[in-house]
Amino acid sequence: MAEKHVFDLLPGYSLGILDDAELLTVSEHLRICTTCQQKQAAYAETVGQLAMAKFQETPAPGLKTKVLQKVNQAAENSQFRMDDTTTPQMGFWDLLHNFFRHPAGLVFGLLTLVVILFLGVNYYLLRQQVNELQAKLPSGYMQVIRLEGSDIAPETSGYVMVFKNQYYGSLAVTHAPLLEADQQYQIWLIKDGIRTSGGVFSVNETGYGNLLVSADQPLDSFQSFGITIEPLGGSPQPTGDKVLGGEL
Amino acid sequence: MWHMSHWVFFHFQSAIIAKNVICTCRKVFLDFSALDDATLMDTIARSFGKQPSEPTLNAALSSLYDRYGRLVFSVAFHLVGDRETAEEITQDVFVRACDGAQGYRSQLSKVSTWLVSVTRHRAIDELRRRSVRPEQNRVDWLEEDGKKTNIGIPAVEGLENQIESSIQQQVIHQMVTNLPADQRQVLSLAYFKGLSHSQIANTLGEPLGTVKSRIRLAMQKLHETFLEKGMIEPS
Repeated sequence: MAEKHVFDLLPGYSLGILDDAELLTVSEHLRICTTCQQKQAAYAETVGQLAMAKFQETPAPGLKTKVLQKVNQAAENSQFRMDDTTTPQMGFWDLLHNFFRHPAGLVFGLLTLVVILFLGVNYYLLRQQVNELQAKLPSGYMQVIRLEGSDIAPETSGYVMVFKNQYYGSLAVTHAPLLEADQQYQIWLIKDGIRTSGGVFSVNETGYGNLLVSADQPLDSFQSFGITIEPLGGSPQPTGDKVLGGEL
Repeated sequence: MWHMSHWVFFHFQSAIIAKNVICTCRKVFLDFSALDDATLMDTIARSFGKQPSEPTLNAALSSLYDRYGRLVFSVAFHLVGDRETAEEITQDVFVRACDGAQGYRSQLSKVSTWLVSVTRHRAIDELRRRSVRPEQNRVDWLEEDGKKTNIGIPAVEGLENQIESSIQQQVIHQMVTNLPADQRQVLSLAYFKGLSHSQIANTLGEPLGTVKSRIRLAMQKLHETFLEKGMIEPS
Protein backbone atom coordinates (compact mmCIF):
# COMPACT_ATOMS: atom_id res chain seq x y z
CA MET A 1 0.00 0.00 0.00
CA ALA A 2 2.75 2.40 1.00
CA GLU A 3 4.44 2.22 -2.41
CA LYS A 4 1.30 3.63 -3.98
CA HIS A 5 1.87 6.85 -2.04
CA VAL A 6 4.65 9.44 -2.11
CA PHE A 7 5.14 9.85 1.63
CA ASP A 8 8.92 10.21 1.39
CA LEU A 9 8.65 13.10 -1.03
CA LEU A 10 5.92 15.07 0.71
CA PRO A 11 8.16 16.86 3.24
CA GLY A 12 10.43 17.91 0.40
CA TYR A 13 7.43 19.07 -1.60
CA SER A 14 6.27 21.21 1.31
CA LEU A 15 9.77 22.64 1.69
CA GLY A 16 9.96 23.33 -2.04
CA ILE A 17 13.16 21.41 -2.52
CA LEU A 18 12.10 18.68 -4.96
CA ASP A 19 13.72 18.55 -8.36
CA ASP A 20 11.56 18.85 -11.48
CA ALA A 21 10.95 15.14 -11.96
CA GLU A 22 10.01 14.59 -8.31
CA LEU A 23 7.82 17.71 -8.33
CA LEU A 24 5.91 16.44 -11.34
CA THR A 25 5.44 13.01 -9.74
CA VAL A 26 4.12 14.44 -6.50
CA SER A 27 1.90 17.04 -8.19
CA GLU A 28 0.26 14.38 -10.35
CA HIS A 29 -0.17 12.04 -7.39
CA LEU A 30 -1.70 14.73 -5.16
CA ARG A 31 -4.47 15.29 -7.70
CA ILE A 32 -5.84 11.82 -6.99
CA CYS A 33 -4.67 10.76 -3.53
CA THR A 34 -6.53 12.23 -0.58
CA THR A 35 -4.25 10.49 1.94
CA CYS A 36 -1.20 12.22 0.55
CA GLN A 37 -3.16 15.47 0.25
CA GLN A 38 -3.85 15.39 3.99
CA LYS A 39 -0.25 14.57 4.84
CA GLN A 40 1.00 17.29 2.52
CA ALA A 41 -1.35 19.81 4.14
CA ALA A 42 0.04 18.84 7.56
CA TYR A 43 3.64 19.30 6.37
CA ALA A 44 2.72 22.61 4.76
CA GLU A 45 1.32 23.84 8.08
CA THR A 46 4.53 22.81 9.77
CA VAL A 47 6.61 24.76 7.25
CA GLY A 48 4.29 27.71 7.74
CA GLN A 49 4.85 27.62 11.50
CA LEU A 50 8.61 27.47 11.00
CA ALA A 51 8.36 30.59 8.89
CA MET A 52 6.53 32.37 11.70
CA ALA A 53 9.33 31.49 14.08
CA LYS A 54 11.93 33.48 12.24
CA PHE A 55 12.91 37.06 12.66
CA GLN A 56 10.76 38.93 10.20
CA GLU A 57 12.51 41.46 8.05
CA THR A 58 10.75 44.75 7.39
CA PRO A 59 10.36 45.44 3.69
CA ALA A 60 10.83 48.90 2.22
CA PRO A 61 7.71 51.11 2.49
CA GLY A 62 7.46 51.36 -1.27
CA LEU A 63 7.15 47.61 -1.75
CA LYS A 64 3.39 47.68 -1.21
CA THR A 65 2.93 50.13 -4.08
CA LYS A 66 5.12 47.97 -6.31
CA VAL A 67 3.05 44.91 -5.44
CA LEU A 68 -0.21 46.70 -6.28
CA GLN A 69 1.19 47.96 -9.57
CA LYS A 70 2.48 44.57 -10.58
CA VAL A 71 -0.77 42.86 -9.71
CA ASN A 72 -2.80 45.45 -11.65
CA GLN A 73 -0.55 44.96 -14.65
CA ALA A 74 -0.98 41.21 -14.39
CA ALA A 75 -4.72 41.69 -14.06
CA GLU A 76 -4.79 43.74 -17.28
CA ASN A 77 -2.81 41.08 -19.10
CA SER A 78 -5.10 38.45 -17.71
CA GLN A 79 -8.12 40.37 -18.99
CA PHE A 80 -6.58 40.68 -22.45
CA ARG A 81 -5.82 36.96 -22.47
CA MET A 82 -9.42 36.20 -21.57
CA ASP A 83 -10.64 38.49 -24.37
CA ASP A 84 -8.32 36.99 -26.98
CA THR A 85 -8.50 33.29 -26.29
CA THR A 86 -11.50 31.13 -26.91
CA THR A 87 -12.10 30.38 -23.29
CA PRO A 88 -15.23 28.49 -22.52
CA GLN A 89 -18.08 30.92 -22.13
CA MET A 90 -20.53 30.63 -19.33
CA GLY A 91 -23.81 29.12 -20.47
CA PHE A 92 -27.00 31.16 -20.47
CA TRP A 93 -28.28 29.53 -17.30
CA ASP A 94 -24.91 30.04 -15.56
CA LEU A 95 -25.02 33.73 -16.49
CA LEU A 96 -28.59 33.99 -15.27
CA HIS A 97 -27.70 32.19 -12.04
CA ASN A 98 -24.71 34.47 -11.50
CA PHE A 99 -26.82 37.56 -12.25
CA PHE A 100 -29.47 36.76 -9.71
CA ARG A 101 -26.87 35.90 -7.06
CA HIS A 102 -25.88 39.58 -7.03
CA PRO A 103 -28.05 41.81 -4.82
CA ALA A 104 -28.79 44.18 -7.71
CA GLY A 105 -29.81 41.22 -9.83
CA LEU A 106 -32.07 39.98 -7.07
CA VAL A 107 -33.76 43.38 -6.79
CA PHE A 108 -34.16 43.47 -10.57
CA GLY A 109 -35.68 40.01 -10.55
CA LEU A 110 -38.13 40.87 -7.77
CA LEU A 111 -39.20 44.07 -9.52
CA THR A 112 -39.69 42.10 -12.74
CA LEU A 113 -41.92 39.65 -10.91
CA VAL A 114 -43.96 42.51 -9.44
CA VAL A 115 -44.44 44.07 -12.88
CA ILE A 116 -45.41 40.73 -14.42
CA LEU A 117 -47.88 40.14 -11.62
CA PHE A 118 -49.39 43.59 -12.04
CA LEU A 119 -49.73 43.18 -15.81
CA GLY A 120 -51.29 39.77 -15.34
CA VAL A 121 -53.90 41.09 -12.92
CA ASN A 122 -54.62 44.01 -15.24
CA TYR A 123 -55.08 41.70 -18.19
CA TYR A 124 -57.47 39.50 -16.23
CA LEU A 125 -59.60 42.47 -15.12
CA LEU A 126 -59.74 43.91 -18.64
CA ARG A 127 -60.68 40.57 -20.04
CA GLN A 128 -63.50 40.30 -17.56
CA GLN A 129 -64.81 43.73 -18.58
CA VAL A 130 -64.79 42.77 -22.24
CA ASN A 131 -66.65 39.55 -21.51
CA GLU A 132 -69.26 41.43 -19.49
CA LEU A 133 -69.81 43.92 -22.26
CA GLN A 134 -70.09 41.23 -24.87
CA ALA A 135 -72.57 39.34 -22.74
CA LYS A 136 -74.84 42.40 -22.64
CA LEU A 137 -75.16 42.39 -26.40
CA PRO A 138 -77.69 39.98 -27.83
CA SER A 139 -75.99 37.20 -29.67
CA GLY A 140 -75.80 37.86 -33.42
CA TYR A 141 -78.21 40.78 -33.15
CA MET A 142 -76.43 42.89 -35.67
CA GLN A 143 -73.73 42.36 -38.27
CA VAL A 144 -71.60 44.89 -40.02
CA ILE A 145 -70.32 43.64 -43.33
CA ARG A 146 -67.33 45.53 -44.59
CA LEU A 147 -67.19 46.26 -48.34
CA GLU A 148 -63.79 46.33 -50.07
CA GLY A 149 -63.08 48.33 -53.22
CA SER A 150 -62.32 46.45 -56.45
CA ASP A 151 -59.40 47.08 -58.83
CA ILE A 152 -61.21 49.90 -60.61
CA ALA A 153 -62.00 51.67 -57.32
CA PRO A 154 -59.39 50.58 -54.81
CA GLU A 155 -59.92 53.54 -52.52
CA THR A 156 -63.62 53.03 -52.25
CA SER A 157 -64.95 51.38 -49.10
CA GLY A 158 -68.22 50.87 -47.38
CA TYR A 159 -70.28 48.75 -45.07
CA VAL A 160 -73.69 47.18 -44.84
CA MET A 161 -75.37 46.91 -41.47
CA VAL A 162 -77.83 44.05 -41.27
CA PHE A 163 -80.03 43.00 -38.36
CA LYS A 164 -81.09 39.52 -37.45
CA ASN A 165 -84.11 38.36 -39.47
CA GLN A 166 -84.74 41.89 -40.70
CA TYR A 167 -85.59 42.74 -44.31
CA TYR A 168 -83.97 46.13 -44.10
CA GLY A 169 -80.42 47.19 -43.66
CA SER A 170 -78.24 50.22 -43.94
CA LEU A 171 -75.54 50.86 -46.58
CA ALA A 172 -72.87 53.56 -46.53
CA VAL A 173 -70.12 54.12 -49.09
CA THR A 174 -67.17 56.51 -49.09
CA HIS A 175 -64.67 57.68 -51.71
CA ALA A 176 -66.68 56.20 -54.54
CA PRO A 177 -65.97 57.59 -58.04
CA LEU A 178 -68.40 60.20 -59.31
CA LEU A 179 -70.61 58.78 -62.04
CA GLU A 180 -72.09 60.22 -65.18
CA ALA A 181 -75.54 61.73 -64.95
CA ASP A 182 -77.07 58.65 -66.55
CA GLN A 183 -75.46 56.23 -64.16
CA GLN A 184 -76.08 55.02 -60.61
CA TYR A 185 -74.63 52.51 -58.16
CA GLN A 186 -76.72 49.40 -57.53
CA ILE A 187 -76.33 46.94 -54.63
CA TRP A 188 -76.83 43.22 -55.27
CA LEU A 189 -77.70 40.68 -52.61
CA ILE A 190 -76.15 37.34 -53.58
CA LYS A 191 -77.29 33.90 -52.49
CA ASP A 192 -76.38 30.62 -54.19
CA GLY A 193 -75.17 32.58 -57.23
CA ILE A 194 -78.50 34.39 -57.64
CA ARG A 195 -78.28 38.18 -57.54
CA THR A 196 -81.16 40.21 -56.17
CA SER A 197 -81.23 43.97 -56.36
CA GLY A 198 -81.17 45.74 -53.02
CA GLY A 199 -81.61 49.23 -54.39
CA VAL A 200 -79.83 52.03 -56.26
CA PHE A 201 -78.06 55.13 -54.96
CA SER A 202 -75.86 57.99 -56.00
CA VAL A 203 -72.87 59.62 -54.30
CA ASN A 204 -72.20 63.26 -53.59
CA GLU A 205 -69.23 65.25 -54.75
CA THR A 206 -67.02 63.75 -52.00
CA GLY A 207 -67.86 60.19 -53.04
CA TYR A 208 -70.15 59.52 -50.08
CA GLY A 209 -73.49 57.78 -50.53
CA ASN A 210 -75.94 55.81 -48.43
CA LEU A 211 -79.02 53.66 -48.92
CA LEU A 212 -81.71 51.89 -46.96
CA VAL A 213 -81.30 48.40 -48.35
CA SER A 214 -84.37 46.22 -48.62
CA ALA A 215 -85.20 42.75 -49.91
CA ASP A 216 -88.00 40.21 -49.84
CA GLN A 217 -85.86 37.98 -47.62
CA PRO A 218 -84.00 38.74 -44.38
CA LEU A 219 -80.76 40.40 -45.35
CA ASP A 220 -78.70 38.15 -43.06
CA SER A 221 -79.86 35.16 -45.13
CA PHE A 222 -77.72 36.28 -48.10
CA GLN A 223 -74.16 35.17 -48.53
CA SER A 224 -72.49 38.25 -49.97
CA PHE A 225 -73.07 41.78 -51.31
CA GLY A 226 -71.76 43.51 -54.41
CA ILE A 227 -72.10 47.04 -55.84
CA THR A 228 -71.88 47.73 -59.56
CA ILE A 229 -72.23 50.73 -61.86
CA GLU A 230 -75.56 50.57 -63.71
CA PRO A 231 -77.73 52.82 -65.85
CA LEU A 232 -79.78 55.39 -64.00
CA GLY A 233 -82.63 53.61 -62.19
CA GLY A 234 -80.88 50.28 -62.06
CA SER A 235 -80.90 47.03 -64.02
CA PRO A 236 -82.62 43.68 -63.54
CA GLN A 237 -79.21 42.01 -63.38
CA PRO A 238 -75.63 43.33 -63.04
CA THR A 239 -74.31 44.80 -66.29
CA GLY A 240 -71.56 47.21 -65.24
CA ASP A 241 -68.22 47.10 -63.44
CA LYS A 242 -68.05 45.88 -59.88
CA VAL A 243 -66.94 48.58 -57.48
CA LEU A 244 -67.37 47.07 -54.02
CA GLY A 245 -67.90 43.63 -52.49
CA GLY A 246 -68.15 41.91 -49.15
CA GLU A 247 -69.21 38.64 -47.57
CA LEU A 248 -71.30 37.83 -44.56
CA MET B 1 -53.91 54.43 -14.34
CA TRP B 2 -50.26 54.29 -15.44
CA HIS B 3 -49.49 53.31 -18.99
CA MET B 4 -47.10 50.44 -19.71
CA SER B 5 -44.34 52.86 -20.65
CA HIS B 6 -44.55 54.49 -17.22
CA TRP B 7 -44.14 51.17 -15.51
CA VAL B 8 -41.20 50.14 -17.71
CA PHE B 9 -39.47 53.43 -17.01
CA PHE B 10 -40.13 53.11 -13.29
CA HIS B 11 -38.82 49.59 -13.30
CA PHE B 12 -35.52 50.42 -14.94
CA GLN B 13 -35.02 53.53 -12.85
CA SER B 14 -35.54 51.49 -9.69
CA ALA B 15 -33.00 48.90 -10.78
CA ILE B 16 -30.41 51.55 -11.58
CA ILE B 17 -30.98 53.33 -8.28
CA ALA B 18 -30.78 50.08 -6.34
CA LYS B 19 -27.54 49.14 -8.02
CA ASN B 20 -25.98 52.53 -7.32
CA VAL B 21 -27.03 52.38 -3.68
CA ILE B 22 -25.55 48.93 -3.26
CA CYS B 23 -22.27 49.92 -4.95
CA THR B 24 -22.01 53.00 -2.76
CA CYS B 25 -22.65 50.95 0.35
CA ARG B 26 -19.98 48.51 -0.64
CA LYS B 27 -17.45 51.28 -1.17
CA VAL B 28 -18.30 53.18 1.97
CA PHE B 29 -19.07 50.50 4.47
CA LEU B 30 -17.15 47.41 3.32
CA ASP B 31 -13.94 47.28 5.26
CA PHE B 32 -11.64 44.63 3.80
CA SER B 33 -9.46 44.67 6.85
CA ALA B 34 -12.33 43.13 8.78
CA LEU B 35 -12.79 40.21 6.39
CA ASP B 36 -11.43 36.79 7.24
CA ASP B 37 -8.71 35.34 5.03
CA ALA B 38 -10.99 33.03 3.08
CA THR B 39 -13.44 35.81 2.23
CA LEU B 40 -10.56 38.09 1.29
CA MET B 41 -9.20 35.50 -1.12
CA ASP B 42 -12.65 34.97 -2.57
CA THR B 43 -12.98 38.73 -3.15
CA ILE B 44 -9.62 38.77 -4.91
CA ALA B 45 -10.58 35.79 -7.04
CA ARG B 46 -13.79 37.47 -8.15
CA SER B 47 -12.17 40.79 -8.95
CA PHE B 48 -8.82 39.80 -10.48
CA GLY B 49 -8.77 40.37 -14.22
CA LYS B 50 -12.12 42.16 -14.27
CA GLN B 51 -11.56 45.81 -15.11
CA PRO B 52 -14.62 47.35 -13.46
CA SER B 53 -13.56 45.71 -10.16
CA GLU B 54 -10.08 47.24 -9.98
CA PRO B 55 -10.83 49.35 -6.84
CA THR B 56 -12.15 46.22 -5.13
CA LEU B 57 -9.06 44.24 -6.11
CA ASN B 58 -6.71 46.95 -4.89
CA ALA B 59 -8.51 47.27 -1.57
CA ALA B 60 -8.55 43.50 -1.00
CA LEU B 61 -4.95 43.08 -2.11
CA SER B 62 -3.88 45.92 0.13
CA SER B 63 -5.43 44.14 3.12
CA LEU B 64 -3.76 40.89 2.13
CA TYR B 65 -0.38 42.61 1.86
CA ASP B 66 -0.84 44.33 5.22
CA ARG B 67 -1.40 40.94 6.79
CA TYR B 68 1.25 38.85 5.10
CA GLY B 69 3.54 41.11 3.12
CA ARG B 70 6.21 41.12 5.77
CA LEU B 71 6.03 37.35 6.19
CA VAL B 72 6.40 36.75 2.45
CA PHE B 73 9.28 39.19 2.20
CA SER B 74 11.02 37.61 5.17
CA VAL B 75 10.74 34.08 3.85
CA ALA B 76 12.11 35.22 0.52
CA PHE B 77 14.89 37.24 2.11
CA HIS B 78 15.99 34.41 4.39
CA LEU B 79 16.43 32.18 1.36
CA VAL B 80 17.94 34.48 -1.26
CA GLY B 81 19.88 36.75 1.03
CA ASP B 82 19.38 40.13 -0.67
CA ARG B 83 16.56 42.64 -0.33
CA GLU B 84 16.20 43.52 -3.99
CA THR B 85 15.61 39.94 -5.05
CA ALA B 86 13.36 39.40 -2.07
CA GLU B 87 11.24 42.37 -3.20
CA GLU B 88 10.95 40.94 -6.72
CA ILE B 89 9.94 37.60 -5.29
CA THR B 90 7.39 39.25 -3.02
CA GLN B 91 5.79 40.98 -5.98
CA ASP B 92 5.69 37.73 -7.95
CA VAL B 93 4.20 35.85 -5.03
CA PHE B 94 1.30 38.28 -4.69
CA VAL B 95 0.69 38.17 -8.43
CA ARG B 96 0.59 34.37 -8.23
CA ALA B 97 -1.66 34.59 -5.19
CA CYS B 98 -4.16 36.75 -7.07
CA ASP B 99 -3.94 34.68 -10.23
CA GLY B 100 -4.39 31.47 -8.26
CA ALA B 101 -6.97 32.80 -5.82
CA GLN B 102 -9.75 30.97 -7.61
CA GLY B 103 -8.00 27.68 -6.95
CA TYR B 104 -7.31 28.40 -3.28
CA ARG B 105 -9.22 26.15 -0.88
CA SER B 106 -9.40 27.38 2.69
CA GLN B 107 -10.25 23.91 3.95
CA LEU B 108 -6.87 22.59 2.76
CA SER B 109 -4.57 25.24 4.24
CA LYS B 110 -4.42 28.65 5.79
CA VAL B 111 -3.62 31.61 3.58
CA SER B 112 -0.35 32.21 5.44
CA THR B 113 0.71 28.61 4.88
CA TRP B 114 -0.21 28.82 1.22
CA LEU B 115 1.72 32.05 0.76
CA VAL B 116 4.77 30.67 2.55
CA SER B 117 4.70 27.66 0.26
CA VAL B 118 4.43 29.78 -2.88
CA THR B 119 7.22 32.03 -1.63
CA ARG B 120 9.55 29.17 -0.86
CA HIS B 121 8.99 27.61 -4.28
CA ARG B 122 9.59 30.92 -5.99
CA ALA B 123 12.70 31.70 -3.95
CA ILE B 124 14.22 28.26 -4.41
CA ASP B 125 13.53 28.49 -8.14
CA GLU B 126 15.46 31.75 -8.10
CA LEU B 127 18.35 30.15 -6.25
CA ARG B 128 18.47 27.26 -8.69
CA ARG B 129 18.24 29.63 -11.64
CA ARG B 130 21.25 31.46 -10.33
CA SER B 131 22.93 28.23 -9.26
CA VAL B 132 24.31 30.09 -6.26
CA ARG B 133 23.68 30.00 -2.57
CA PRO B 134 23.69 32.97 -0.23
CA GLU B 135 27.16 33.46 1.16
CA GLN B 136 26.10 34.44 4.63
CA ASN B 137 24.61 31.77 6.81
CA ARG B 138 22.51 34.47 8.33
CA VAL B 139 19.71 32.30 9.44
CA ASP B 140 19.82 29.32 11.70
CA TRP B 141 17.82 28.32 14.67
CA LEU B 142 20.79 28.10 17.01
CA GLU B 143 24.04 29.92 17.43
CA GLU B 144 27.09 27.74 17.66
CA ASP B 145 27.21 27.93 21.45
CA GLY B 146 23.72 26.54 21.69
CA LYS B 147 22.11 29.73 22.92
CA LYS B 148 18.81 30.75 21.51
CA THR B 149 18.92 33.29 18.77
CA ASN B 150 18.03 36.87 19.41
CA ILE B 151 14.42 37.15 18.50
CA GLY B 152 14.79 40.72 17.33
CA ILE B 153 11.91 42.95 16.38
CA PRO B 154 8.66 41.02 16.59
CA ALA B 155 6.62 40.61 13.46
CA VAL B 156 3.50 42.41 14.68
CA GLU B 157 2.78 45.62 16.51
CA GLY B 158 1.00 45.96 19.80
CA LEU B 159 2.34 44.90 23.17
CA GLU B 160 0.15 41.82 23.54
CA ASN B 161 0.94 40.61 20.08
CA GLN B 162 4.61 41.31 20.62
CA ILE B 163 4.68 39.15 23.69
CA GLU B 164 2.62 36.39 22.09
CA SER B 165 4.77 36.38 19.00
CA SER B 166 7.94 36.38 21.04
CA ILE B 167 6.71 33.44 23.09
CA GLN B 168 5.66 31.56 19.96
CA GLN B 169 9.07 32.05 18.42
CA GLN B 170 10.80 30.83 21.55
CA VAL B 171 8.58 27.77 21.66
CA ILE B 172 9.35 26.89 18.08
CA HIS B 173 13.02 27.46 18.67
CA GLN B 174 12.87 25.03 21.56
CA MET B 175 11.05 22.44 19.45
CA VAL B 176 13.72 22.60 16.79
CA THR B 177 16.43 22.41 19.41
CA ASN B 178 14.90 19.24 20.74
CA LEU B 179 15.26 17.51 17.38
CA PRO B 180 18.12 15.07 17.02
CA ALA B 181 21.20 16.83 15.64
CA ASP B 182 21.24 14.90 12.36
CA GLN B 183 17.60 15.72 11.69
CA ARG B 184 18.11 19.36 12.63
CA GLN B 185 21.08 19.57 10.29
CA VAL B 186 19.31 18.24 7.18
CA LEU B 187 16.24 20.30 7.96
CA SER B 188 18.33 23.46 8.20
CA LEU B 189 19.98 22.80 4.84
CA ALA B 190 16.60 22.16 3.26
CA TYR B 191 14.75 24.98 4.98
CA PHE B 192 17.29 27.79 4.95
CA LYS B 193 19.28 26.99 1.84
CA GLY B 194 16.66 25.27 -0.28
CA LEU B 195 18.98 22.41 -1.12
CA SER B 196 17.37 19.42 -2.80
CA HIS B 197 17.58 15.92 -1.32
CA SER B 198 20.44 14.96 -3.61
CA GLN B 199 22.35 18.17 -2.89
CA ILE B 200 22.03 17.61 0.85
CA ALA B 201 23.14 14.02 0.41
CA ASN B 202 26.19 15.17 -1.56
CA THR B 203 26.98 17.93 0.93
CA LEU B 204 26.85 15.62 3.94
CA GLY B 205 28.08 12.54 2.21
CA GLU B 206 24.99 10.64 3.26
CA PRO B 207 22.78 8.26 1.25
CA LEU B 208 19.79 9.86 -0.49
CA GLY B 209 17.30 7.65 1.33
CA THR B 210 18.79 8.62 4.68
CA VAL B 211 18.40 12.30 3.90
CA LYS B 212 14.78 11.87 2.87
CA SER B 213 14.05 9.82 5.94
CA ARG B 214 15.65 12.34 8.33
CA ILE B 215 13.75 15.24 6.82
CA ARG B 216 10.51 13.31 7.05
CA LEU B 217 11.14 12.33 10.66
CA ALA B 218 12.04 15.91 11.60
CA MET B 219 8.92 17.28 9.96
CA GLN B 220 6.72 14.61 11.55
CA LYS B 221 8.16 15.33 14.97
CA LEU B 222 7.67 19.05 14.61
CA HIS B 223 4.12 18.55 13.34
CA GLU B 224 3.23 16.37 16.30
CA THR B 225 4.67 18.92 18.69
CA PHE B 226 2.83 21.76 17.01
CA LEU B 227 -0.38 19.77 17.38
CA GLU B 228 0.27 19.10 21.05
CA LYS B 229 0.87 22.76 21.70
CA GLY B 230 -2.26 23.71 19.80
CA MET B 231 -0.28 25.73 17.27
CA ILE B 232 -1.76 23.70 14.44
CA GLU B 233 -5.32 22.46 14.17
CA PRO B 234 -5.82 18.76 13.44
CA SER B 235 -6.74 18.11 9.81
